[in-house]
Amino acid sequence: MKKLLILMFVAVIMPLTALGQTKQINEILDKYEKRKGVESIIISPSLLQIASTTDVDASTKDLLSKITEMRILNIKSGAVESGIPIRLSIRKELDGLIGTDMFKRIVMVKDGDEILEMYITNTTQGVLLFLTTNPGEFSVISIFGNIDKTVVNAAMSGAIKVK
Amino acid sequence: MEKIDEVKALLERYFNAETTLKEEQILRDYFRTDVKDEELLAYKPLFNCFSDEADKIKELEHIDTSIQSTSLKRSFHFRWISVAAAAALALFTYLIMPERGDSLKLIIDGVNVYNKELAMSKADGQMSNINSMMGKFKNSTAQLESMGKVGDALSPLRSMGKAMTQND
Repeated sequence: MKKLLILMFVAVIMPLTALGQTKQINEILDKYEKRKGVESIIISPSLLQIASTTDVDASTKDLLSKITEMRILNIKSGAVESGIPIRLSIRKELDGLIGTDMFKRIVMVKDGDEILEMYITNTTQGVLLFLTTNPGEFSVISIFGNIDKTVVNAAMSGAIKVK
Repeated sequence: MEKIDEVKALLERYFNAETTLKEEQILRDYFRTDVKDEELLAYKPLFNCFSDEADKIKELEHIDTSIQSTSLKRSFHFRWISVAAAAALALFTYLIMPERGDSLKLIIDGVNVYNKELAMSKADGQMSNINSMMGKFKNSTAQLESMGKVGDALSPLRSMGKAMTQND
């Protein structure tokens, strides 16, 4: 009985931790998505499922089934609010989150003026986060779902496609 | 005294297989009491054996019923726990993966744009850019691996060089 209670407690607490990470990312994205000079794209699981079934590659199909949602936020360099570039404001908020123990950086690639960073949450039910910076814009690409080793490997080998 | 005579008469009929069920019950009831007559005392185990067995059966039936009620309570308890666990799981699944309804949503400058192709093209553009950058990362990793292989290939030469220096 005691074991069962502990098991139930863990089962309740673990999703809450993951919930906190996804919620915080979503809150930041929600905050900035309707600003001027910002583009927001939300791709729900239903579309990703369709995308996965139209793909012939079985491994990609399996991979996309693990993803529950994809959110993209493009912030133009010229987008300014109250004299502060929005890209700097959102970056500051994201840094406050990815700098914690909940996230770890997997990759950072610098190619000319462009920088790509890839972060994942410590729990599998979490977020795979890409941050791209170039002189023209700053982008946040977040992939929510069961972010396990296969999803990370696929992302690193460029297997994640939208269509 | 009359009772003893009556019991003795019934016993005789019993051994002649002439007793009715009611008379046999009278005999069983009698032998369950404190029998003092020595002649009748010898028959006590015979009739008590049946009544003792009946008592034990009743006792076992009682235990069985209590076990059944306990296991019923336990299964009821576990049923509720499993229902609660399933409800908690469903709640958290809903909280973690809230259904957003729209299959695709595009907002540009705070305005909802209902253009699926444009949204897909923008999303695809971003993912292609990431995949291209990742491709460069993969190439760099491959180059590092090649360099490692060259290093491994050169290690016998280094050992040779070392040996030759020692010989000098």
